[in-house]
Amino acid sequence: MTTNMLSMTEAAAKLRAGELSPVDLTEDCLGRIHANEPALNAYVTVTDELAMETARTTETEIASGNLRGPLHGIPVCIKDLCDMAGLPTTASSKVRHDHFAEADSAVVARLKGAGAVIVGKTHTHEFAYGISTPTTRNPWNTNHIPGGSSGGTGATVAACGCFAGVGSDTGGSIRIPAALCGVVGLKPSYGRVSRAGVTSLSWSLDHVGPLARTVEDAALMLGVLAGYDARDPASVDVPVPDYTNGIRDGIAGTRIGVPTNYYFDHMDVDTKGLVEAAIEQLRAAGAEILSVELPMVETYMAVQYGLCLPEASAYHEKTLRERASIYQDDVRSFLEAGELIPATDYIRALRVREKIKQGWAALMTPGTGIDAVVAPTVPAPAAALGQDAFTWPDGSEETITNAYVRHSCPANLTGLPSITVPCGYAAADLPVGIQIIGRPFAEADILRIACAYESLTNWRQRAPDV
Amino acid sequence: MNEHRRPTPTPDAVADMAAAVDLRIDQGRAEILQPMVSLIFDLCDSLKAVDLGEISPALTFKCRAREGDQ
Repeated sequence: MTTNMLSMTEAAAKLRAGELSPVDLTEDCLGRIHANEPALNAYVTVTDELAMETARTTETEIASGNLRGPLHGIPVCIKDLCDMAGLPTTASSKVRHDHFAEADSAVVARLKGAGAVIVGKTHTHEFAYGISTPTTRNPWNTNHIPGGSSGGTGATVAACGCFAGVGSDTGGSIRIPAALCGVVGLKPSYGRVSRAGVTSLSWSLDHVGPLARTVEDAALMLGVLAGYDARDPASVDVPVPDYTNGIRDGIAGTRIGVPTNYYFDHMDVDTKGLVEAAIEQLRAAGAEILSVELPMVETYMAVQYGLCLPEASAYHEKTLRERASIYQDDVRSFLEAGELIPATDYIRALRVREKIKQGWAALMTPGTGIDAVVAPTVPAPAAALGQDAFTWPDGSEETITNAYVRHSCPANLTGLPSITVPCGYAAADLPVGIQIIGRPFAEADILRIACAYESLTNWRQRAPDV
Repeated sequence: MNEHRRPTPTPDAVADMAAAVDLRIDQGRAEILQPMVSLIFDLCDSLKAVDLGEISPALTFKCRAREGDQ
């Protein structure tokens, strides 16, 4: 049986009903991974033997009626920033050639506890410090980047190598590859998912979350990944709901803000048209669409860089002095430059960030404010390999890094949850997405809005022909 | 217009700043880094225009070692 067009939810139902076995499902996924790897190179490590061993165990458990939950027996992948005991955590870097994990990261432990079958560790832009993932290719067109930094996860989930995966997002690294590969990506609220055992890029901006092919699948993944963990200083002890509860309740009366500034200033024409059409579909589905002006937009990129660079340099302080020559050039330059930012600049960025957060909180005041912001996830589809910049309709140019991070960083700076869902195909038949940003810890709300939009479209019926 | 902008750093200045934090970079690296450092300083300087009053930075530090500790 071919399983490539099944969602995780559908596959889980077939597993429960005994119509599908975890062994067959895992073999099917591993077969696709190996068939696609020459073109995509999405994986650092494919864990064939471990995966099959887990699949056989889960098959016995499910057959004997011990179903652990919706991820039991489901093949998933993890970004190679996440420790998995006994395996290397390379962060796609030569710098980590001798790094082996002694224990599972929190997210891997949670996936194992839920009975998921981990099929491998996926490529990241080196140490998550970039948006292109140069090791890996976009499954819709291998002459284009998959986005990053969770590019391996985005590519393999889109190409049906597994049903879902784990990514991390410091300036868009879940949502950018999800949008550019045509899948769903969810950056949860800051503190919602533990980062214990996950290699850091920037402690105050890092988030861990799922990529999946459907909104409901992302909800199931988040339900497993989320939860308090005292080992992560940012972790917040907030109850974890069943994120699928009410996910199909619709959006009648939901107040959605569409920004009049920032997001639409510089965009590819096709992408803008697709996003505007998606907003009209949300309106037709009963949402109240309101124009909103986002606060302090002129500071976003400065604060993003002002926080990320010094924090990343602090993390790499020792290895930069011992192994500088084996970092990739772009990452080395960022790390060296970050060393030179004075502490007063860093503190100023933190203070401006607090003011940005307050501005967004005012915009989304419960009762009087909007429930969510809807905006383009990316300003353009996947850049071509080797492309450095976009040229916008007004003739201005912007580096691809700044263009993609510009659209993502507001949710990192505010810590607000944000989900991207495919909204169509732009030039060269490359996918793009809309993102929905919600109130703190209101993941259930943005999942409901995303699910309502997804149910009006048939984008997910398409799969890349790798 | 912000009145407190740093002067554009020269490659020599970049090398000196790096040495001050015990980061040894040669002239070639300093020349590669100079445009990026200049751009980052411009971004940092742009934030000086924001009126921050007495606002405190957002930090995640918690003084309790474990949940439930007094």
